[in-house]
Amino acid sequence: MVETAPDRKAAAAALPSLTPAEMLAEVGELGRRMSEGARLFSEVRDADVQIATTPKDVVWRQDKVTLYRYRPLAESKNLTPVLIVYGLIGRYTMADLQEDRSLVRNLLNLGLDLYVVDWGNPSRADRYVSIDDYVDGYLADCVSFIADASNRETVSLLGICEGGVFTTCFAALYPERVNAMVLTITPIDFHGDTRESRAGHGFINVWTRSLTHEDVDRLIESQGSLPGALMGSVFSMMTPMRTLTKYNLDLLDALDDKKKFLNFLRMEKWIADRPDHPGEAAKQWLKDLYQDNKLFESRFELGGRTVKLADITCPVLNVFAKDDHIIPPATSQALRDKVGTDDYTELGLPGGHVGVFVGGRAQALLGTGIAEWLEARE
Amino acid sequence: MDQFDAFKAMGEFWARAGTNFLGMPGTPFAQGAGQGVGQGAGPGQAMPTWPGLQPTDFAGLADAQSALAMSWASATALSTTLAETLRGSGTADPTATAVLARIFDPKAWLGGGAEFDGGLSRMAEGPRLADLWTMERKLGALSTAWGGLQRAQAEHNAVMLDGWTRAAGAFAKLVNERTERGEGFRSAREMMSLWIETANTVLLDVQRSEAFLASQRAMLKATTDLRLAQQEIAAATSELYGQPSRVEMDDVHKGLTELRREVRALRRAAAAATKAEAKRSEAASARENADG
Repeated sequence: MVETAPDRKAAAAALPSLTPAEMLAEVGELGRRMSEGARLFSEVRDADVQIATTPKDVVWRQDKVTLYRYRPLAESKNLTPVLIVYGLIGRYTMADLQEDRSLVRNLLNLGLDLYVVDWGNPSRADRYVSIDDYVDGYLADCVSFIADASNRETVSLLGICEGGVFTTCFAALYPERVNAMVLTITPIDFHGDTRESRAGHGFINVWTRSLTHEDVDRLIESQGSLPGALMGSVFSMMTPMRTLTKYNLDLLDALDDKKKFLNFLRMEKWIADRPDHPGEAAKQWLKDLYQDNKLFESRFELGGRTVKLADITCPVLNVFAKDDHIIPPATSQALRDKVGTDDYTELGLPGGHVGVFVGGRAQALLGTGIAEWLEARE
Repeated sequence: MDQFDAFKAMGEFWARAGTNFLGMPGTPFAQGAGQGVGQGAGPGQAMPTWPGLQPTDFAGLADAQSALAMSWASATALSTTLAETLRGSGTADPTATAVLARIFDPKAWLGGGAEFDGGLSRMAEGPRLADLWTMERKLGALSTAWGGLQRAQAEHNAVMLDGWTRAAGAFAKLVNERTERGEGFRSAREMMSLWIETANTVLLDVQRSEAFLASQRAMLKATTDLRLAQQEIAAATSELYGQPSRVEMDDVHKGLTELRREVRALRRAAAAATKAEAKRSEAASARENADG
């Protein structure tokens, strides 16, 4: 494992050096930036870094789960309402990070009727809440509420990441209740990473498969949940040096530009909001899906029924990020040959896992792409 | 803040980032702050003792620490060389020396010591309960679990140090090549960028290695074992003082979750019945209107 140690004497002799004057000049520039940064920090108020500010109202609540309906920002197109479903790792606020980087606002501006479900903050008391409860329970009830409120039989679903897995399961179990389904950065074939070998991509898949079922069971037994901080750490490991430089070099770079600086802080705020994943649901997520790939193989069971991807008969738009290191594109695109509908569309967007939602070019394409696709499925 | 303070602050920034990195599962060394390689003294320092602890509880730990000490010595020597040579001959600027030493400090890849706020370390934290000496059996298990975690940490640290040494070697090679071409660094930032890029490539490779995954799994398992051993003691204490234990609370929560499922099912059944009744009434009204 240890490679040959470098020839230190050779390195010492050959390394070039900066002159004291050059070093001092850089130090001076650094001092200027840090002074500017201190000024910016002193000026920043909570209100400046608020996220998920698009106006919305609570319309339904059960246990820790809350369903919101967004207030319209444009004339309604009278399309089937759309329910945004995020996963239990992270929070839906990523879809509404800030005014100029918001999938939610983009869709509202295009006349969609939009709902979002917030799973709340699960604690140890929610250890026994399972994916069955989220899909067959809370999600099913949210869909019922929206259908009743809009006097329709069906709703459209927009799943994000793990939330996309939830909507996929729901669409397979209740095809008659889904008008159309949009999946974004959603893993379907959890072993699909093995078909791609890009450096730094799919580490969560590799890491999870390096554990045994017993490891997962004991982790949940000891913690009662999959701690959000642990998952955050695994995400950080995927970009190791970026993690080391984030709060020094990256932050220093952001200090030159107040807008960039505030964007940095808002993103940090979203990243820091990482709820714990309920224990039983985490076991299913890690063992049944990541380790055993049961969803892709149509062996995943919820509420006593088997989730069969071929039972998904609604139109499907599958959006993936071309440089997604967390959900490698192959793991998403694997759905193509599994669904039971011919109306299946893929949309590959530039950027990474989060960049698809907040990156300048990708987020514009995402909003328009989803709205136009949905409108064509009415 | 003058320029020198600013440069020192940058060094602190760097060290803090390294510390934060430590709290993650890839570098989960923080449990037992002050006992790991990240706490200044480096590996091989005296291990804290627990009352009732038997040496046999730590079979293998000494070997792991010895291997880690060798990796550590190699990495620190290389780190010193890199920092000294990049500082340049003749400048003798103590601030610059300190900052460069920080940037190329292999500890940033290991443990942060006192400030541990990441995933596994938080998981492993718990009541020390050091005053409960009467529960020898449980404390013995706790001690064994603690020793297991120390061993797993040492073995994982050795893997990370090997990675750092590889990265530093690759960096030195690249710098040598630049020098041979007559290219210098235009700025310290450019030099750092090269280091970051080189180290990132190596780290990603290390993380995919069987050694890394195995040692990290061992870390996770050891952390879990320690946590469960701590909970055993907490449960015994709860029983002693008539307080509800974790197991009892879990039972309650399980019951609550099941009750919620039943309530949800009943609500649905009631709603479906109401809808069906409404449809029947509507149909009946329609028939009456048609007949009438």
